[in-house]
Amino acid sequence: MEKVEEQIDRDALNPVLQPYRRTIEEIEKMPIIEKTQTVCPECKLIIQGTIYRDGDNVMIRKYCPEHGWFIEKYWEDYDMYMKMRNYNYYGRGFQNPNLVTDTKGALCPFDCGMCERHKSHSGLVNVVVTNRCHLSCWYCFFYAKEGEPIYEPNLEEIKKMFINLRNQKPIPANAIQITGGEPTLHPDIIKIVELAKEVGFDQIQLNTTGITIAQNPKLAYELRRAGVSTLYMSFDGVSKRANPKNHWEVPLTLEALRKAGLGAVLVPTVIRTVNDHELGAIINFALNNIDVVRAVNFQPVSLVGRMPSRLREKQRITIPGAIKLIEEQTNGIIAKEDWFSVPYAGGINRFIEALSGEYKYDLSIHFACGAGTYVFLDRRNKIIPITRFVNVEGLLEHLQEAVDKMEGKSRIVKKMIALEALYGIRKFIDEKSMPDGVNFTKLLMSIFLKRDFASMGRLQMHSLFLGMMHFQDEYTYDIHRVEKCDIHYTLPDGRVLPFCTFNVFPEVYRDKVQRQYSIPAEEWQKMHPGWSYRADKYIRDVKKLEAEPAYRRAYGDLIDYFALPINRGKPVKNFVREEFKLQEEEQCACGGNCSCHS
Amino acid sequence: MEKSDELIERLNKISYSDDRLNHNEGFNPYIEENGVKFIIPYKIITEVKFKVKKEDLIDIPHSARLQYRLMLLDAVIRATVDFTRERITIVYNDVNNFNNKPKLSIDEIVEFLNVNGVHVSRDDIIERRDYDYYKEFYSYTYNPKVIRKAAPYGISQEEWDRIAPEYERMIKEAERKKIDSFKAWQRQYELEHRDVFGVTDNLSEDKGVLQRFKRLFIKKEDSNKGYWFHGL
Ligand code: SF4
Ligand code: SF4
Repeated sequence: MEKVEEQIDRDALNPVLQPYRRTIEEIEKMPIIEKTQTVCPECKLIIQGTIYRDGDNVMIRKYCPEHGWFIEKYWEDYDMYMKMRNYNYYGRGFQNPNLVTDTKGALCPFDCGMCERHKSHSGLVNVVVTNRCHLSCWYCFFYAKEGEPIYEPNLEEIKKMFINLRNQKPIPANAIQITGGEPTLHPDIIKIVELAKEVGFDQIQLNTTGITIAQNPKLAYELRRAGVSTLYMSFDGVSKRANPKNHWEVPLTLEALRKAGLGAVLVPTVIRTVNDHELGAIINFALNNIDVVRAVNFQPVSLVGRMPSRLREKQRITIPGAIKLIEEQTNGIIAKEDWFSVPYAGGINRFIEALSGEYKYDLSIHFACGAGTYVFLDRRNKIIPITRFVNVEGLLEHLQEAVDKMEGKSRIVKKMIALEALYGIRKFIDEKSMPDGVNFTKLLMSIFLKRDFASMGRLQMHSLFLGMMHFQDEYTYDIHRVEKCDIHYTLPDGRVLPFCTFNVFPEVYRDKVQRQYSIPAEEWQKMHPGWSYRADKYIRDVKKLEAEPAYRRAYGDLIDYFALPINRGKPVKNFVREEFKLQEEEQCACGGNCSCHS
Repeated sequence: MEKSDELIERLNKISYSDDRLNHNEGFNPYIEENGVKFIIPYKIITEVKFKVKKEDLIDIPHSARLQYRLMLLDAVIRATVDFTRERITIVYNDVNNFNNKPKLSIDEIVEFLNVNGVHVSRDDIIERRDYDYYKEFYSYTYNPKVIRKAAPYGISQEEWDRIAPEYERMIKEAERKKIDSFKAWQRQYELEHRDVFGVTDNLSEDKGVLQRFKRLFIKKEDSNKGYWFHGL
């Protein structure tokens, strides 16, 4: 085992850790970018946060009179930060916020529910349908452990939450994610999806490990028929070590989805030093399954809860940190410049709204919360990010100018302005560099002219969307971010909360309210004869799964797209083939805690 | 702060004590709405308002922290620490309330506030009343009132007020059509996977006008499988 002093020496030289090793005097001399409001990670006092530049890093520092200084990485790329922040804008909150308080949200984030201060409507809402889970991941605080109360709303209760979301004004929630625990453990999961469709949601995602579908492929058809649009599936890497959660089952799940015509989003939680070396390999895996994988949504880890500061510093990675690693691991094919922050795309929606006179979704989250890009895989297997043939920034500015001109004009004049703007779109698209077999100009025109989600869906069928969302924790917390959040949760008491209050302060939101509406384990047992905690748990048969043809195909027969000459011909790092199979004792990084050991 | 943490731990333990929960075995957790029963954790609970000194609250950030700390108590359902109005409002489950959830006494709440630097006694209570959890809280969060207006981008509020009723009607109509088209797609999906869904009729062989018409919808739905990223 490595000696502690040696480890400390190495840390001192590690450039990734340098910004944490400075004195406060040094830090205070660094150029300030802006001020914000944050919380003390220890006592939750609202304190000022100073966002400053430290070389290439954007850092946040804060001082609590009782607990001293806290320094944390905010964004690991200064230029990118400055570029992204140009697109920040305020959206429209709720006309009918679920909670009206005397303080009017001044005590954010402790006035939550939605309060009248909140600046964005619900973009995607998580609805927890159970806290039971078939796995027992050591890092998860969300599922009910043995003997703990069970939270599992019934159909009527779920319907009530759905209707509440559809009644939001002026823009009703149109996309939900059914989540858990493991939502497929809910006995009425199919009916829940049907209900969601009945009340009018267009997008229904199911957040699952995929294991139930691997065990019972028929479920994929049933879910699709009921109205599930995409499976939102955890996938932390291509190797067993990086992805002990569902490495063995994912191939079977994808096979089932393929047959049922159901798409998946792979969701890697990115942790520095744990799976950050497999980001390129994950994208390559997704490209190999582009017929069924719609997107990869990377989630740089949110380090909620207490942990040793050294470990936190080592594991911390931010959106640009992950983006730079992707650039490195994809031979520069998916580069830093190819990404845009979520509010960038707000310009498109504003244009469509002004043109149509109908409310459209805002994309008004904080620029530091999320980023994304599209990559196309063309007929020649060439990987082309959207920015290589669309001048995204130019296009958005062009559209925004049109929106500004339309303000207060008559319908006819607006239409003329819009036509002129649409005509001008071509100059932002380089048709020669477009992916072979994709007519992007035509696609874009149909998005603008038909103004429906199907056009967007068609765009996604030709491409892989790469997304990033960095959920906050007490260290990175920024109230300017959370008050603009559009990823929400419903609570059974009728409130709606941002993801980053629900999960960062579970003691006063998530856990507290779910406990109020849960049933004690003994009572649950009485109400469900035959149920036992153990019976819920999944027992993995590694040998059997590894012998599955789908497994061997998925990991052994991969094309390394990045190694093809058309894509610069360098193999993607950590590209997995069967010969890289780990030894038995190396198979799992869970320390014996996950279900593959049960 | 340490003292307050210890107190929270102690009060949370006390609030679950058997003698506070046991005498409520007959508690009926259901409410009924349009013939449907819903479980709610509380019915009549207690709201208490304290008049407090501004200097005890210090400022808005400290008030927010106190609000957070009050919410750490399992028996506190809602808390508002209003620095501007020098008032603390706590909705909590009093030991005398009838239900099976954790409970606290008013003296324990006073003790908690004192430990957290807010010097109050029972004499500072300006109001203490029954609070109907269902009527005053739950019913509101599920049926919130419209408190402001916002017209779509590029349209003035005046113009919007004029066209909004027609827009509402259009939206309702579009919702209905959406469901119909989904149902049509669903039927086609079953036919395409008849072995899975045990479909036995021969509709899929129908090459008639109706079938072709249906496919128009189906195509639309199939291409709508994309992934939703904040509405992208
Ligand atoms: S996060 Fe939003 S809803 Fe919550 S307190 Fe802040 S502004 Fe209000
Ligand atoms: S969930 Fe968190 S990271 Fe995502 S938009 Fe909301 S505040 Fe930002």
